[in-house]
Amino acid sequence: MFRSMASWSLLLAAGSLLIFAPASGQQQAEKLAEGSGADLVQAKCTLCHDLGNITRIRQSREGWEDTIKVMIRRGAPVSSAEETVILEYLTKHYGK
Amino acid sequence: MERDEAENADQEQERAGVVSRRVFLRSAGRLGALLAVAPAALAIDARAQTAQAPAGAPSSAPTATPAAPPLPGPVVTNAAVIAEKDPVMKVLTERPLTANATAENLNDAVTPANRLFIRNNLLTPDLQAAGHTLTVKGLVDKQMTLTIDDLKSAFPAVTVQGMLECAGSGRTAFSPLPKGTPWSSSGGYGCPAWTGARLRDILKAAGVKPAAVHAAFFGADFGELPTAPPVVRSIPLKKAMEPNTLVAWAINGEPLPKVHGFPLRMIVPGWVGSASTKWLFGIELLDAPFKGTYMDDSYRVPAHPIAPGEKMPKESVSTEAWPVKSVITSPAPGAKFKIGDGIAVAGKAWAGDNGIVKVEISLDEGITWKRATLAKPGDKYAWRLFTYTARLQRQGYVTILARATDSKGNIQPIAAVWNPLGYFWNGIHRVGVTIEKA
Repeated sequence: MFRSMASWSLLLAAGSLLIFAPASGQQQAEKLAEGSGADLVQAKCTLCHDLGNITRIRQSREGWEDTIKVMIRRGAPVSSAEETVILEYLTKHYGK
Repeated sequence: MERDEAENADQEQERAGVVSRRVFLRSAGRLGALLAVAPAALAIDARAQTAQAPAGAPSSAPTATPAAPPLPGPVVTNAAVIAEKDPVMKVLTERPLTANATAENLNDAVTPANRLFIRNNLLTPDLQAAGHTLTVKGLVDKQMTLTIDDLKSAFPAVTVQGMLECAGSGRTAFSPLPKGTPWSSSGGYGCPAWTGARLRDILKAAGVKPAAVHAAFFGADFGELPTAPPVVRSIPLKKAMEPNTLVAWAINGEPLPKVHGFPLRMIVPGWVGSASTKWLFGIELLDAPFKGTYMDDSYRVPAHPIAPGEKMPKESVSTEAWPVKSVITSPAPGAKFKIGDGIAVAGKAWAGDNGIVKVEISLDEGITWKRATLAKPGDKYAWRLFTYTARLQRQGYVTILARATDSKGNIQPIAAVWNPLGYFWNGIHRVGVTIEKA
């Protein structure tokens, strides 16, 4: 009833590696804006996720505050002093 | 209604980030007699603590933070996952891995596994079927630990075609863009055929205690940081006992691909995909919804609509069944036709726990609508195929619109209600094509 995917997978495997490479534009968009706190955001937030999760959205200070708290509940190793630096950076560069 | 102390302690440990499988299995041992295969459970436990991560773990020391500790188990690399996928799949994020095929690539009546969307929260664990067990505990009369062979021999195997759709499917159609995986406006869902045992058969064998109201599902995935809490989701018992809710081991007649939950996963069709826990190793019946960040911080929508861009209000509700939705899978955006051509419009419609009663097509931005032909209904949670032949006697660009109506009379909206986490996009799908002179 269902066709086997195995042969297709083999044939297409080589091609998919190329297709799956992120577009160069996407990579550029995933660079953080320069500024105080950028290094800390880079170091902490990319422990688990792509920078694009940050750079493609805009949030109010309240919104970023909530996001940082959720990320800490998800295991982000961020001290309260670092939390402040990260919040200031995100609000300034990715605020609205 | 209080949970016993051991369970509370376990859940606190989980909140503190202890690897879920160890906690779940340790608790299983302490709380009651395992009916079978305790050694297999222990074997998994041991592996979880000792196995080293192969490729995929950080290979060079990060500059700003100490080197990450070894992962609790082997993982499948993104490259290996992607090599098994069709090239039409587009990777949306690499950490965590997410990917989707857009509507024009989802013309199959039954979604092939290699075109099914990928939504990981953490890493892809490299599990083996041999020795893998499912433990059922909590508010049951008898705690059980079952191997996959036990599941296959003790319960009738059923195959059902059913919708799997990420809660954030279509998210990029929202404006302003909410946070979360940037799902294509027409991606993040699929409708394969799943084979497994009915969860209700398993729960009946364990004996559901009257106090049970939610079933929590535990997956064996883990994050790069030891502090990352496990992804645990729970659903109301009523849905858990629905005959289409499965503990599945096969997709389209084949074993689950590793990224789709091998060797065992939940299938809660029609509901947000996060209910369909991958890499399932534990089920716990509870007297309340599970408490954890993936229940309390994610997969929620405001109880009352808010203005676009506002933050999540205090009153919010957990996401469950998808609302009515349809997509046009053919023609593809940008297709070209001649004046008078018969344009074969085809697509799929679905509506969470409801059926589809009508799909309409508009070729004039919704001023007039014509009924599409619906294929015979299939399995309860399978999408419904529709077709329509459009003929246009004028040249130029035209947008084809489809809107579905469900068995409760709900009609697909022009745009979905905006919400801070960007869930439940079900706005009318639009596909633009060009008509040229004959």
